[in-house]
Amino acid sequence: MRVETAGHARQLLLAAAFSVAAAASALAQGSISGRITSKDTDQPLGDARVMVLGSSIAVHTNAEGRFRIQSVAAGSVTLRVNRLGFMEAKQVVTVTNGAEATANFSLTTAVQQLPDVVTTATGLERRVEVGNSIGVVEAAERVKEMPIHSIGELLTARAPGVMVLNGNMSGGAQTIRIRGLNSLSRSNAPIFVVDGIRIDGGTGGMGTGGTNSSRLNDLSPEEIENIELVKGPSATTLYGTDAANGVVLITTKKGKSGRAKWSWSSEAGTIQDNNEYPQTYALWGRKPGRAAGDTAFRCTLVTVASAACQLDSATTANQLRADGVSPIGTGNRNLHTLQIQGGSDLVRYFASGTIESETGPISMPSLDRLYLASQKTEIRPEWANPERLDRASFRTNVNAIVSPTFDLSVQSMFLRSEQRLPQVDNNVNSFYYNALTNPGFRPADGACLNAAFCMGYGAVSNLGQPLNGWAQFTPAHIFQRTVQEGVKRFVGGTTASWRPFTWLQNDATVGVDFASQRNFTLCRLNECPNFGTQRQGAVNDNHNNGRIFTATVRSTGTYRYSDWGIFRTTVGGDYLNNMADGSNSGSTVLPPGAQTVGAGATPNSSNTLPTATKTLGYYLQEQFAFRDRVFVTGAIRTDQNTAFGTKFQGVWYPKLQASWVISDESFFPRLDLVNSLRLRSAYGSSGVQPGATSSLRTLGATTVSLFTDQAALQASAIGNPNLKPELTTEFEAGFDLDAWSNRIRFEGTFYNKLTSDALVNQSIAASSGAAVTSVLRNLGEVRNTGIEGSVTVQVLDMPEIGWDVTLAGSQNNNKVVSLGLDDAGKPIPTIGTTTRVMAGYPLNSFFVIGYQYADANGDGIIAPTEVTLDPLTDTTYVGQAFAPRQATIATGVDILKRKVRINASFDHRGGHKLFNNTLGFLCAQTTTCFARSSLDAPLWEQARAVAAVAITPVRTNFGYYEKGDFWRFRELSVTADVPQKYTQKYLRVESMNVSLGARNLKVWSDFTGDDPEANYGTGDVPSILLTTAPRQYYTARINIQF
Amino acid sequence: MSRLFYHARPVLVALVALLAPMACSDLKEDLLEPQQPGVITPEAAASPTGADALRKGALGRLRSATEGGDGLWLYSGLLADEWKTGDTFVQRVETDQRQFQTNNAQIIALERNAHRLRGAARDAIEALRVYWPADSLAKTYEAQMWWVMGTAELTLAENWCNGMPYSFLVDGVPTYGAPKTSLDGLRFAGTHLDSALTLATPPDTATVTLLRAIQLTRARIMVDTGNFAGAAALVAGIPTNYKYLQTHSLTTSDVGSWSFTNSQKRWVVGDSFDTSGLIQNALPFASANDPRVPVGGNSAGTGGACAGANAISTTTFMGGAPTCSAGRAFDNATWFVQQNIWSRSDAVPLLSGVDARLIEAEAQIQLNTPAGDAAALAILNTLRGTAQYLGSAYNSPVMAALPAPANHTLMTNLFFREKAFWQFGRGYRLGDLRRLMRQYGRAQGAVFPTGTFFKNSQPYGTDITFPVTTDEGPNPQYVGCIDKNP
Repeated sequence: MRVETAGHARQLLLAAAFSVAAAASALAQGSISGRITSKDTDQPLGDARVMVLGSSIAVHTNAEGRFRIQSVAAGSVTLRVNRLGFMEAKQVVTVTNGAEATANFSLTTAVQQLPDVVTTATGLERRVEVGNSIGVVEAAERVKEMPIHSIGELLTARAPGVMVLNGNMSGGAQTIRIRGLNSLSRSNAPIFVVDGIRIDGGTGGMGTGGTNSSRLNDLSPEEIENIELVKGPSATTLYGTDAANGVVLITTKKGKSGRAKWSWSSEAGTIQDNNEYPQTYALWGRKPGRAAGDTAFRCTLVTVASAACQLDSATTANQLRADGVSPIGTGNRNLHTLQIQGGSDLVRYFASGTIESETGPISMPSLDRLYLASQKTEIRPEWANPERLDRASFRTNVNAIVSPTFDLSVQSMFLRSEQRLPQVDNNVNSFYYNALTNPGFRPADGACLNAAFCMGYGAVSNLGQPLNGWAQFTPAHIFQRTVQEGVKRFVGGTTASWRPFTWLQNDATVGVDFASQRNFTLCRLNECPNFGTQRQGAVNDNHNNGRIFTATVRSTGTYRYSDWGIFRTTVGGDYLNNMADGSNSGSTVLPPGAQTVGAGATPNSSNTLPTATKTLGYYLQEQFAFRDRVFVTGAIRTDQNTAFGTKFQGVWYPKLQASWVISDESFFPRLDLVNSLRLRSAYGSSGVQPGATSSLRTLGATTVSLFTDQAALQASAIGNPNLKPELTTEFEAGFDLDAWSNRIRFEGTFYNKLTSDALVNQSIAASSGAAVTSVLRNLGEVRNTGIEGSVTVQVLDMPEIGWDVTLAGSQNNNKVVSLGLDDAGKPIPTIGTTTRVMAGYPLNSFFVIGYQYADANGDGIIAPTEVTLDPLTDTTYVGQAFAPRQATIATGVDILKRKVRINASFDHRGGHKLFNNTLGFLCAQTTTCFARSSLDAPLWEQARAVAAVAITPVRTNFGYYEKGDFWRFRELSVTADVPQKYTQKYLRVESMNVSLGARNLKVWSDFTGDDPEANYGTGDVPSILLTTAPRQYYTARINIQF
Repeated sequence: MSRLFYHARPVLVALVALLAPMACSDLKEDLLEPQQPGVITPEAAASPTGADALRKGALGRLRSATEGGDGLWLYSGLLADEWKTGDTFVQRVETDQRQFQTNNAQIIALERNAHRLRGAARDAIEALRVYWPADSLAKTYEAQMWWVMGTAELTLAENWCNGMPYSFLVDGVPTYGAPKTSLDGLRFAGTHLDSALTLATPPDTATVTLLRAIQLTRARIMVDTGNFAGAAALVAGIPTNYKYLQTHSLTTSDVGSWSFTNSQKRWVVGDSFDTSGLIQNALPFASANDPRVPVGGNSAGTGGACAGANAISTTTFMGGAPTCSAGRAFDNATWFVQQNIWSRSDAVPLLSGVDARLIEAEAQIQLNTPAGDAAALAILNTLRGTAQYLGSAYNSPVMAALPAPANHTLMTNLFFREKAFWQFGRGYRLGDLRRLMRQYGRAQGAVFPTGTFFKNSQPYGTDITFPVTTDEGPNPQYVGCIDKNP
């Protein structure tokens, strides 16, 4: 830490030094004051941003709508006012030396609620000045009205080109991808910045079969003002190495001057899992020639067809839908938030406290409770409800105007969360696995005590417990395995702004994201399923720390060359130190009652490799505004990073943007229909850094038993001293069109980005004896092109009612251009076998051997001989894993004098294929799947199961790669404002509204699995294996201001 | 002047921006150092203790490449008849069915582990030669590493098809070799073991133990290449109670065949029948009731379900076979049968004096004379007449002598059956089945498991070796298997 502190101090000194060095002579100065009001209501407008054009001066109005600007250069200046919900306004003011000029504004209400000001790496800028498209999510408004419970849900289907696949269990991690996939080997997730501070948005370390926790979900949507989605390198250049996949800029709520305003929100609701999980089937029969009533023999469609089994009857079962047996019930969630914001013209504050709890729908079934009670085993709360999330977060933001030239803001967030999950997904202890491999029937009590009568299915587990249809283990034991994650996290920072001259602004931000994570798993003695050694008692207690230190400094000089031209020069630097370390400990063979590592007979411990990835970057940006309608920006940034190879010294990222409000030009035809048209274009580069230690040749430490345990070394990574970052360069062009009295807004964007020097895990042949299977090299090229568009229409805009509709969509075309050359100089053709990275195809394309089938004998059953494999040398391109197509329809209706608002949204994803591994696995591993044991199974279902199970010389899952297209009724909410005459008279509160919301109401899809969004992974290829499908949330929320 | 400065502000700011990074190059150094303090760099091995640590690391890889995890010993026995899969992993299912895809991830792991063992031995030899002092241990340690390398090459030759390359990695850069036949692989192994024999000079006890291991491994190569008499001569001095042990501990690793059978129930002791009926050629390891392969459970699931808590826990069965079914395996379909030779942390003999006697017996078989057969039978009965060490917690009991078979063919059959039970689960069986085809002229259909595979009611495949997998693809000379001859 000494290094970082010292370094930061020196950075600040540097910034101060060149500011002072640039000291200029004092010019004649005056001041401006005024008041901003609404033209419609004449009410004062607080929180409006008033800026002096051509300078660094910007202030906000107080609750009375008043502002005062000091130290304005004498002469004629232009003031510009922006406020969300109102049209931008400008006014020329004449300032005289030593006098105070007055400028009042009366703003016109905007039909479209789009912010005029956006956040960039060089500070706040007007949207029209930026050459790239930016997606904006007005979080504060949405959270109050919509059923949103996480950052992932907040971002889902909000902006074209931004794909979010949420985790489906309580607190489950989400996948976020923007404008397709760039990287072959590194994460394609964007980076996350909160109030200028880089934070960890990755996943946790929970020991389930797949579902994991999310560090991004640590952030409470309640505290967020808005989120800006900066989509590609053309816009993220100045965020430096690691920003090529986009930047998610999160701005938290801030205080507003005026009296203290309290707000309280409470939410309660239920969580239901109404998904249709697969039925299991059994065909009961006997061996040929045996009399009816002989020992039951399990038939399948194939053995029935071949007369190897004489069918008597059929049964079906669904363990996940059987009363008393199913662990899927109804969950619930509660949230309470208390916030205060207020302050004076000099100091503004915002404080927030949120407590949230969510109990997932997974719970101990009643039959298992009875069993444990019969064993005199007390059911612990974590067994009764193994899926649970408790979270408490506190935030304080303070903004102070220390002097007319110096502002200071301090942000801090502390979070504490406890999360637990049951064993799920790809895991022999998973309750899904044990439910979905049910024998195809659920025996009555005592019916299967002799397994021979039940086709080999025993009635009791290997622990003597009645199985009641479960395959091997029941929830009584499965849920005894405790998997918990505890997180304590602090995100805090401070930003200082110093304006020594009207033309110069210096900003510095220092912040840290510190996350302490504890992952704990426990099986006490004689608890948990009888698998492996866990019933001897096993505990793991792992602690991991992540620290991200951010420091940025920048100076912006603004120069008004003339009435028609303004230059703005920004120089800046930033430093990022992303560190991680941890220690793992565990032990087995626990004595009765013990649940700590020290109590075990065989404790062991290790530590995770401490890593530190540090980036130091500098940039220079020059902006030019011509007559406030043409804006050109050019910039260059250079980075050095500790993950680069020792032979690579630095990388340069260029940027060039242009924005032209062409409708303001005199030659532009004055059309009644068109209000404004802006053309924009951006070009820029950014990077993705290699892994922290990828460039290094390393040895690994291990312990070897040579009669006694001895320390040893083994070769490990080969390393690559020439490693450099992936370089993604993007060009985008688009337009923004406002029409029909600003009631229609069109946005359209085309982008074309090329990732060169793509980091490829170049395989090393096994025979080399290398300890690793590959070495990271800069070899490949990946291209993404696409279009994004949206149209928002205020269909009705009347005092009584309103109706708005937003249609948005995007199409991404992804292609691997090249994988580079191998050591022999030959092009590398492909990486992977079934899921491939292959030149000429999209990243993560599926290639599978196809088959043909025909019911040759017409018996309605597909036998192995009736399925023919395609040539083994000819695998078929099936499709890509990433959904290239997205669409959203969102609409809102205001009724009853706009006191009631109804919101609904539908979203679509398509053009991709999903590997339905759940059905593929079940049909391959059990005879009880629909395709193998149901007389109703269509031929195509039978054929894909036969191909996956019983054909020679190779089996193929071709039939389980399915279209992943879907439309989902994502959100529905009804929000009603309680009339003020009631709230003020009876409740003595300023305002109150009530919102009823529902989430994931309905899905339309041809996918034959549980759901096209059933997934437990967080990578680029969804993981669909015995996992949870999206749940339905039904919530009620009350928001009170007082 | 002030006006001039006013207009020059952007230029000034830009100049500062350009100069600032140059002015703080030392700052850059401060901020970017140290790089990764947690990693162990190759310099750590540049000392005698570092070289010795690499040697121990190679011995750790020897365990991984043989009986560690679900390693080669289990898989080669799965392709043969020692084990069957009770698992859901398709990679194990297709191995059991003798019907491989060349991208089988589990076989890829085995192939990698065998080659990593070669690489680790090479790394250790290079480090020992540079950093280890020229003391009495120097030659022993180097001999040990040549033996390790030869063992790796032996396993590749015995279990994989013709076409395996033997490449090297020098300073992180691979030097790829051409595909070689299994015979070539055995020659490489022989050369390296000859180096080991030259360097391993007793009299200290550790070197004697090592020398016998080298002799046994070298003799195994001789058997593989048809020099039966030479092999017998080489191992003649090794006492029957000799053993080279691989040890385990709770803090390092478990015995692989305990972990994946007894603990996880993914593997099941093989038998001559299953739910699909008889498996032709398969020995009845599970049902023979042979004390050299003690088991728990049975292949038919008979005897009713075990009742009561912990009925099939590992401890229950350790003392002997249960009288009831052990229930289902991991896949919830296959009847579970576990091995009871090795427990979790037992020492497992990589090589033993019993192996030496079996080499001598086979040399007698090869004489193809009544006297030779009689001598071979005598060796076998001598082994049966004494309790033999099979694991640190299990010795075979004294067994009755075998009657003389009626002819040489039956004697040969008896020999390989006895060899299979003595060496159960120790990586010999697949090589022996291949030798039965290659050296004894048997047909594949008379040697390998044949019939209907129980998992999908389809015929067994025809694979008798592991393939050179697609993981060898980056080798420009990769061709896969040259052939699948035994």
